[in-house]
Amino acid sequence: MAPIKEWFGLYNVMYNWFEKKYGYKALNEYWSYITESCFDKVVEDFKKGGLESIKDYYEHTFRLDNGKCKAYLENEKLTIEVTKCPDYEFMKSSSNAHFVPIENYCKHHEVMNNILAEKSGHSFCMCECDNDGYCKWSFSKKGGVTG
Amino acid sequence: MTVHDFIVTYNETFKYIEEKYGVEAVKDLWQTISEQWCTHLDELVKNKGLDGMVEYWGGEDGTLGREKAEYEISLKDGVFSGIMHECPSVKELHENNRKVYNGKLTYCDHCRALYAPVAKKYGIEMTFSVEHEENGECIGRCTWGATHSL
Repeated sequence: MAPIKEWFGLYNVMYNWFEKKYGYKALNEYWSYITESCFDKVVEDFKKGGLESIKDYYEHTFRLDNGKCKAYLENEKLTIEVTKCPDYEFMKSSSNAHFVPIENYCKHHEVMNNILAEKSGHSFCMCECDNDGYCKWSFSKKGGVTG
Repeated sequence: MTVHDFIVTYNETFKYIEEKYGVEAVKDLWQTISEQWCTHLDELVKNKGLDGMVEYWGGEDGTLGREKAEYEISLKDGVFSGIMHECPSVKELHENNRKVYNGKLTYCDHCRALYAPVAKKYGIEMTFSVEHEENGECIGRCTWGATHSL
């Protein structure tokens, strides 16, 4: 199976449907459910491999999706700077009016990463996000420094 | 979320919505996706009719080619026919040991729900025939067709 980029737009359509029909809290609950039910292997890898594993996972993921990120692991803190968000790249290139990212689109990264971090013994911080395709994340081992 | 996780999350989304909000909510989501996401198919069918369907699904630039599906498509004497030998979505779910959505609706019902309303707008009737396991779960093989309404 090979994914198609239109699915970034479909994520947006589904998030918009959830939020308009049931509100932001329901959308947040949906993201939490998806993370809890679909990312067990990722959590296990993060648990086993720690910050190195998180770094590898996101570098690999952004490369697969033709996005770009810079990842730095310094002083037990992992910083991931997303410089080319594949979701925004695709949606901005589309003429479909429903592919304009919803205001809370980027929040799914915060909700999901918080859960993945928590379950694998880490802390997560969405340090910067311009809601336009640039953001900066940080992960630390639980009890370490975030932000 | 990466598009590489899409099929697994899509399948899980249907289960979640049916369980939490009921089957009518699943239908409502599919109708919304049909209206808001299937705009490329809509444009092709509007401008090219059945040839637009061939262009949408078939060929290297079509969605099924890009998804690396094993399928056949033909258009002969005003009848569009598609045969899916191995649905890439169902295959992906099986490879990931995910239970394919099989509630009051099934995973495979979403294709009919998304595409048939688009075709109908332009006087085209679509048919779908999906093969299921004994327990009703989709197995990844189906046929679909389309022809102009009389």
